[in-house]
Amino acid sequence: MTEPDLATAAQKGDAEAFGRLVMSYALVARRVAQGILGNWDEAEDAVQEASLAAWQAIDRYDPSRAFRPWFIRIVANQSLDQLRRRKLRDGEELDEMTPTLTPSPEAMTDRALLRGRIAGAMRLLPERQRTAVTLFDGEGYSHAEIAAILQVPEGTVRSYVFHARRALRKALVSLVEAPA
Amino acid sequence: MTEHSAFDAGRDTEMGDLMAEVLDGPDPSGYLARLGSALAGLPSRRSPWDVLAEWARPSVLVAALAAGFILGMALWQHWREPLAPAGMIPVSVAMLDASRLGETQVIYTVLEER
Repeated sequence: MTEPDLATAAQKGDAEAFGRLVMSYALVARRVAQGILGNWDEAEDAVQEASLAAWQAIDRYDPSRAFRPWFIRIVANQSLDQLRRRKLRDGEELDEMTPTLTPSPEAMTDRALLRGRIAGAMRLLPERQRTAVTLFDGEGYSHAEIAAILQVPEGTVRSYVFHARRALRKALVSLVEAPA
Repeated sequence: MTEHSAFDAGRDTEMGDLMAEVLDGPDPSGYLARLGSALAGLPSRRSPWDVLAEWARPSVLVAALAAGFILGMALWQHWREPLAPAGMIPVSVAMLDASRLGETQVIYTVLEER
């Protein structure tokens, strides 16, 4: 069955077809949620909640268009919502989150070292910059699509991506320049 | 890494791949299994028409009963009218009827008093 067939079946109430659609993008969805929330458990919850929301709203999906952007947009919105709720609940300052994924230097290969640096730098990014760069460089969304998700002007998204990239590259450059 | 400017309008795939590696969480198979079981228990989705139909059923029944009652009343009224006493003469006819002078006088008296 093709994606539009599955989507059409899902719109007629076929939960199995809907499940197959969601499962094809489950890993991407978790990456996006993780990029926004910075917490694996919460990211998983966000994907489950987003799947439920997508199931309830499947009538509003246009099967002639790709499912992935529609679904990932719901995941991103759900994650942002969850982040807002968490902030309200904990009074947490997310922009000052500290890295939690830093493997021991002995265990690190060059690639793993790079990943560790990126992970750390990403956690230090302000929430909107992290979301924008995750969607833009990580998932290939356009500035316009990200602007629609974050409900900010396109120029603001460009600025978020610019600042986030600068911060991430700075983290990588410091790694390259660090004495052995 | 390839040299990119932070101003680049295009996607930095190298950075994107690295980010994807960072964001690919632990235990993907466990995650997929958990999501799969959550999806297997999705609540049945009712279309707006189902909801409307459910809501409409009692309303349609009440509306049909009301329509039946009104129709019955109208038919009953219609059937009852021809059964009205045949001997009753409209006032306009009675006034023209010379053989009923007494009645005419009564009518005139009533009208003059108004």
